[in-house]
Amino acid sequence: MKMDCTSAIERLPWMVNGTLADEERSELEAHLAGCPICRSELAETIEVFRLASAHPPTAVLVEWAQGREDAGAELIERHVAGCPACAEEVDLVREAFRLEAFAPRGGAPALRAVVAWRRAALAAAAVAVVGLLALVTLWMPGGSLGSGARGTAPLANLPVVELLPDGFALRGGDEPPVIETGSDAVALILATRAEAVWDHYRLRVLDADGRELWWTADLIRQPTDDFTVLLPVKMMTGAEIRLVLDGGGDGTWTELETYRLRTLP
Amino acid sequence: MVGVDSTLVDEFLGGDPMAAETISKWIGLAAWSFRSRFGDDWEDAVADATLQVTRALREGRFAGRGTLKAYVRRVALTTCLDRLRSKKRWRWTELVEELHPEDPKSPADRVESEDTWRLAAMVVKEMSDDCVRLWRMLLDGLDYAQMAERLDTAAGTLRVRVLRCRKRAVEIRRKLECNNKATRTPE
Ligand SMILES: [Zn+2]
Ligand SMILES: [Zn+2]
Repeated sequence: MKMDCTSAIERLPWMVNGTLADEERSELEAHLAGCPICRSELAETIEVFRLASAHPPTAVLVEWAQGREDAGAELIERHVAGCPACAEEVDLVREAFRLEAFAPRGGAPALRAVVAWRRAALAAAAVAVVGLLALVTLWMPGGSLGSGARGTAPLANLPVVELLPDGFALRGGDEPPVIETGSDAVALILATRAEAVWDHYRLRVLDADGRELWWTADLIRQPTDDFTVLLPVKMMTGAEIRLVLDGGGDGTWTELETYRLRTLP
Repeated sequence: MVGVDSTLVDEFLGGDPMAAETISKWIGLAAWSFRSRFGDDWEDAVADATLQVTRALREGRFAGRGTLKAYVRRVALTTCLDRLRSKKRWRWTELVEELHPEDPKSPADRVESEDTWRLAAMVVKEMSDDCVRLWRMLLDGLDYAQMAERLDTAAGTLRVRVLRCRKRAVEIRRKLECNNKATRTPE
């Protein structure tokens, strides 16, 4: 039986997705060979397949996965919600971000250089926050730091806690890290996703009711895209505290990231 | 560009081993999550990413709007995703190539530009949920008997529905393209 145009046109989508039975497919191919109208219908069918299967370009997806809210974010969100392949790619990108933030703890040899950067960052922070260090010294029992102690030495024994911004919690757990307030200070490494560069950065520490407990300005953004801060935890009495990282320029401050932390006496 | 970043770029391009190590570790970190996906090819992917980063920095494409580390990460992740995508082509693209070997629009060859993607996404957005669902089933490689069964409808009715969706999609695309041209033309 010869296939007519109507039957041919209706079967084109399944020819394109490769699921026609052999016999049906050969009949359709024979028809197409002699029918220019149906060949142009085939071209149109392919075009719609192309439209329906278009994924965001990888560069666009990477930016979106890292929280860039440029035009088109809504289209990408819609697409990712219905496209398992892109959802998987977004997961990979976010995984990469999380791995970076946790890099110094991991044992992978590939992470050594970043650890070195972070050590340098800690040393720089030690020099930059002499004032705070003096404060830390005051709390030290018996003034064990001695006068004029500065640099990396006292920092070596401080607990180091790395924080990921809210919204980037590790899979399977949304609990904020717990720190003990037994030590005088904690060296915090704050990872950030914000790509724009600001003139100034500051950190505000708020309690559960939003009251400001402490703040520090003039944070230095490290080449690793994070900030190192010495947090005087002895002052932090709230069970859960919130840290807000702001970027400043032209006399105004913009909230960039928030972090959560739990304290245990 | 922040001072430390421009110094690092200069050192890296000048062949400084410390700078090279720093940047290659950043690339390794960005690509780390692709290990299980690439298996034995992972090191090739990292080498490819390193090549892309080096090329971009040499050509001065890092404008310093963000940090160098964020830029390196972005280039490395994009390279890895491109490789991942090239590994799993749509099953219908081979058929399209077979039918239209000379067609430059063959989906496997085209680099999807941002504009192309945006137009496609807008067409899909305007399509009815029913049409989107039908087309997703087609892309998932379901034959018409399977689709008819899932939708609890006769195969003939289904084929007509799909045809209507196809025509509608083409109409939407023409309308959007026309509007785009109208807004771009000055006066
Ligand atoms: Zn025909
Ligand atoms: Zn997709």
